[in-house]
Amino acid sequence: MSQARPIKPSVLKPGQTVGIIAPASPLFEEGQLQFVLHWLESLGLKYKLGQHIFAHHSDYAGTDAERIEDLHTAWRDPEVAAVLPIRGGNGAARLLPAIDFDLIAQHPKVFVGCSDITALLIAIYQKSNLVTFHGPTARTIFESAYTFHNFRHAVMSTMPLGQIRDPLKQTVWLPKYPPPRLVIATGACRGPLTGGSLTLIRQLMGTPYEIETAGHLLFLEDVGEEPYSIDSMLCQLLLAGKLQKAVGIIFGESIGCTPGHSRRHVLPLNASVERVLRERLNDLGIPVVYGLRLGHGDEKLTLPIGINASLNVGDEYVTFEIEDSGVIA
Amino acid sequence: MKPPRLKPGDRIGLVALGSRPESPGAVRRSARVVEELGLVPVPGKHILDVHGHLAGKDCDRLADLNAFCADDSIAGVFCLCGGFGALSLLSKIDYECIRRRPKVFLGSDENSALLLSINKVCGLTTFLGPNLDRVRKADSFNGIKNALLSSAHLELLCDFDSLGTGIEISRSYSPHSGTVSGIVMGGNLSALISIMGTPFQPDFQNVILYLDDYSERLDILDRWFNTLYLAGALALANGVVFGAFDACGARGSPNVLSIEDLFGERLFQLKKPSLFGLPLGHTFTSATIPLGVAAELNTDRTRLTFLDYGTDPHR
Repeated sequence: MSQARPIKPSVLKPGQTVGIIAPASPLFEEGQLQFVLHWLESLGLKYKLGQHIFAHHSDYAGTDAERIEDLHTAWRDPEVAAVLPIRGGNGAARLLPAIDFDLIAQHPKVFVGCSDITALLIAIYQKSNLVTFHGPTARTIFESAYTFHNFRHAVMSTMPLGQIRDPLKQTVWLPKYPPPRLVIATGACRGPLTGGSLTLIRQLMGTPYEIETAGHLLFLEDVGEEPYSIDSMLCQLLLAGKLQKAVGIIFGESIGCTPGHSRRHVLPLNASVERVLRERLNDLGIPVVYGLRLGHGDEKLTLPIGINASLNVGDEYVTFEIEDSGVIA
Repeated sequence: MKPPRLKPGDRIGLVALGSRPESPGAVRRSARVVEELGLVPVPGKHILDVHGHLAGKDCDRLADLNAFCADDSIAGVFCLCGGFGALSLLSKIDYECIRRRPKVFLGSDENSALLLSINKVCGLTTFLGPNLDRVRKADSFNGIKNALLSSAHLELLCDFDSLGTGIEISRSYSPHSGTVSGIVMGGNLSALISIMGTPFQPDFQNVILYLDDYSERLDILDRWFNTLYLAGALALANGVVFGAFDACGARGSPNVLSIEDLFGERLFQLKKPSLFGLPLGHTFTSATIPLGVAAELNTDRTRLTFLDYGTDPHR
């Protein structure tokens, strides 16, 4: 448990350099990077690229040794103010035993990602006691105005994040399901944020990097999972006492998790994710809300892990406030 | 602790702990398999219930299981089908009752989690073998008979292809060779991972770890195998053996090596005697093995030899 208040990295400022690495999978199309680099330049940021970001070994960007070398090189480099993984995919958790968590603690830097990068966000928060950011990978910072503005507010400004707003409605016709704040269980809570991709949280169970949820406001999301699989992962967390110990749960919009739309084995009989959430999470005695845009959709928040937040879920309203900034001046 | 060996006329409870059986016919065929084993099938009351993706509500599936556990006239509980949803029952099973009345528990796929939990909590040998709806070939039928009803010594030889008279090519692959013994533990990889970090996580000290899976993505399997590495399970195990990974594939990933590559790399690095190709976990032709019983792994002879029975012939 990170007892002491977590260390905040310094705010990322124009003129500074970001280190782009690929600790999980590489970009399949190398040209996707150009778009990202142009946008970074337009923010006044300079960049350094990891040596192996286009390497391939199975679905990883190079061997474990190559990926860990890029991570440590970026973290050691005094010019690099933020370390931004280019994408998730698979393979980040493989690096954990080789990561120098002391090096990371001694050189606090902004570190942002989601999906497979969850493994690093949780491990660095818990082992280096550093605030990490669940938000877009470098590839997706510029995917939508919502993602971009939230990213910029979270890591390029020391203003407290405050009340979290949903994306503006694009149209009054056929709103997207789920709505951003579907009430699963009412209540009010306050605690430091932790969480990430459910699949990654499962992957770390039983290991030295297992998520600590006690007293935390837990956010979860996943992509391309069948409802039965979401159910199974929630049941595991219940068996392990992880959900009961959280003060509240935000289950994010989870893309591609309707029956038959995942890349998983499809069953003839199905419940919906919403029904699974209602069955498993409605009687924990903590507030639970479903739908916040914090996952694999093209509109996503940047959430500082380790920073206090409060969630108020009533029958008619839901407020979610992050009390502080995740970075210091 | 071993359950009493099954004998003709014993009554067997049939349960669906997660997914509903595919059809009423699947229940009837499964009951016929049990009859052909010389046993008497007793289907659970809720076996054809439907609740979302489940064979009935948690409380009803649990009631079927706990009723069989408490019934002295029931000698064994066989899982009828795999699927998903057994996990939610694990914390509510009447383990004390199982400890007092040891029975034969048989299943595979997600039901591996049940077998491992009973083994962990009660110290009872449980049986990894085909769910009844998968018994459609002589191999799987005879496998159940050998493991649960006979005094035959259990030895599993890796699958091979017969290319003509006297020409047999083994499908085995051994990332690191060696001969080791240990307590056989494991089952479906996804199911094993789903109890990691819970009170039902098995002990990996001194085990020969067995793994298989069905219809899963290779990158997900790679993830779960890595969990075992991070948890220290691979380092603790004396050896690691693999059954079938039927219907598993890349499915959407543009680049992924084979399971033998991905798992083998780690086992080679850890110098862990290991063997791919055991005739277990195949869709329709799986063998049956006891979990919690000592065996010897000999990678050069491509076999796993059990050093003891899984059932107690004297009780």
